[in-house]
Amino acid sequence: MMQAGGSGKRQARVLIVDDHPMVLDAAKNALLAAQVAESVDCVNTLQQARDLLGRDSGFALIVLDLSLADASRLEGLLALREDHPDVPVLIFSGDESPGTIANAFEYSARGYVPKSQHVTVLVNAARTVLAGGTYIPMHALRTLGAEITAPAPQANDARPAIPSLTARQTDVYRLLLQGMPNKVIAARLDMSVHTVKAHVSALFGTLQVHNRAQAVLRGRQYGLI
Amino acid sequence: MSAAAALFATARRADVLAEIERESMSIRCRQSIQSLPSMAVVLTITGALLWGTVDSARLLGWVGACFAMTALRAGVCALILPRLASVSREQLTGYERWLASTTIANTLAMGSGVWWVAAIGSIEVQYFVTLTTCLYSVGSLVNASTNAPIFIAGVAANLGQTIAFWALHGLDGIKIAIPLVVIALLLVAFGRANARAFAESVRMRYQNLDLVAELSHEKKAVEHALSIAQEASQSKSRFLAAASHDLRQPLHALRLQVGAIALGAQDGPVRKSVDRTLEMLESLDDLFRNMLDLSRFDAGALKPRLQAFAIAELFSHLEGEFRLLAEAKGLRFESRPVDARVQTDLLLLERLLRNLLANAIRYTAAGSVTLAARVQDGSVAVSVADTGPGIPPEQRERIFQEFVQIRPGAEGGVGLGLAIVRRIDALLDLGLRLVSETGRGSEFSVRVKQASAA
Repeated sequence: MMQAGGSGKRQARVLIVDDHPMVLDAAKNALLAAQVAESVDCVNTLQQARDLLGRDSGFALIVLDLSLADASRLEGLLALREDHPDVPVLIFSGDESPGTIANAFEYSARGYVPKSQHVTVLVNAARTVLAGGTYIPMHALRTLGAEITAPAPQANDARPAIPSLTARQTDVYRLLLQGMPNKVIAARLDMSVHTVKAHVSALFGTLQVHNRAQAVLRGRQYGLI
Repeated sequence: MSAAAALFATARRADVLAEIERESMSIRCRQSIQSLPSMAVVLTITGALLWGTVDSARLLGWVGACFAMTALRAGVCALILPRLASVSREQLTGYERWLASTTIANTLAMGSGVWWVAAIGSIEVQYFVTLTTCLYSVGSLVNASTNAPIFIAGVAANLGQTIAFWALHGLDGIKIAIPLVVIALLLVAFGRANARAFAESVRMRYQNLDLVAELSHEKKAVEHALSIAQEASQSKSRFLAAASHDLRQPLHALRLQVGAIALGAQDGPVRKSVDRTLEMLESLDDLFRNMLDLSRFDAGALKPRLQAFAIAELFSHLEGEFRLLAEAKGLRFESRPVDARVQTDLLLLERLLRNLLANAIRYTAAGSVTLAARVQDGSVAVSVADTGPGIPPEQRERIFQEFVQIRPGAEGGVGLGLAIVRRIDALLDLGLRLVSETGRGSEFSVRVKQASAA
């Protein structure tokens, strides 16, 4: 699933983090061949990625493997998202289970591409995320989508009405749809992480969803993204 | 049966005989000791009742001899009983001799009463003594009946004397002797039957013990074999998991590299070749993925993700995927969904149905492939039916094994599809069923739990 939105940088700098050198090199070539990226940097560990991002703020996208030697699964993702909230993360992993994918979005990933997918999927997902969109793999979309009931459509209107949210909830939702983790939302809106969590959980209740990925799906149903 | 086993069986039979002997002696000894007080009472009463009707010295002699013999037997028994459990078979035979001789002595003493007490008394006394002897045979000697020879010898020693006494008393005596003979014969028959039943019950107990021992031995052997098989299966799974995972990384890299070439290639023969290469790599990756998943199913590493969803939504998705494939082969594709929601793992059920549909289309030359659902007692039965060649009964188990194809050479597939179907069926408890008729087609069906109304 792809969503275009915002104005993406056509020739961007991309950082790929993967502990398999062969995969790194191949992904780099694919992104360059598709002209998604102007340049691609490759690192093997989370620490190298953090060092590089600390020195250089010019990256437009991080492509991240989940199985790194120095990061336990999604912790690496959350660390990168909190330290560099303006650089979106696209997960590129061999793990295809919907549970892992839902968790990745819980930790504020902006996209998820299973490694078994065709090269064009990686390319298009990278383009989508660079353009400000979100990419959720089809099979995960189906299991996540089946759990939330479609909102009742309005008469004579294709789009369902957005449920009434408080001003604060709307602010939180907007940042959540941009893929911001709670800590970043807290800093941006000048509130505590605890308060953000309370807003998010109230928001989920109003939207009748169970997780961030479903909240993103709802946002699409309402035409918010 | 091997020679050693035969030897063992013979030894076992001898053991059982010894145990029957031991058990029988134990019962007889205990009863002899226990019956000593009641015998004393009975003999005292007998003596008192006969007192004054016969010669006192003879009466005392008889009653005293009876009591002395009873006491002697009880004494011998009291000596034997505590040693019984630990003695050898040879010693057992010696003990049996002691027990037999005291028992015979006892019965001889009892039976002799007719000769030297009753013989001098009135006819009533004779009847009374005869009755006492009979009662003794029936009531007390029965204790010995678990050992037939001693019992019969006892009956003969006891009743035999009485019978002989009456037989020597003319026609009237014979009238008494005949029913006594009948009683003696009945007692003998009873004693033999009782001894047999007793031996049988001991033998059965030993057979049961043997059986229990044998079963526990076999159980251990089976458990051992099972653990070896499980270990082998797990190491196979570990190997497959490691191999598939490590092979998949370079394969993913390879697909990306070839994909990068395809992205930059112009339309033409090179582009066509690159695209074909990509397709082949994709099939190869699929194969590795299936192998990896098989080992993950076997290792219990795949956890179902249960959720409620509409069966119609799943059907329309599968129809979108398979209708064109079926029609490209000239087959009709029919989808008959039902308006129901089910509760299971969506992706795993979809994968199961996808594998069944792919097989149905692959092996059906003409006719139709039908995906159908119907509500049935709180669950939804989902079936995939084809008009293909059918599966012969003897193949119906085999087709669910890995890498088994009963019609090799068919386009595509390596025989992992149904192996995965079987594992998903086991994981989600779908009660997979196969109905097939050779030449007519096959129908695979599963039952999915209906979701409670949302």
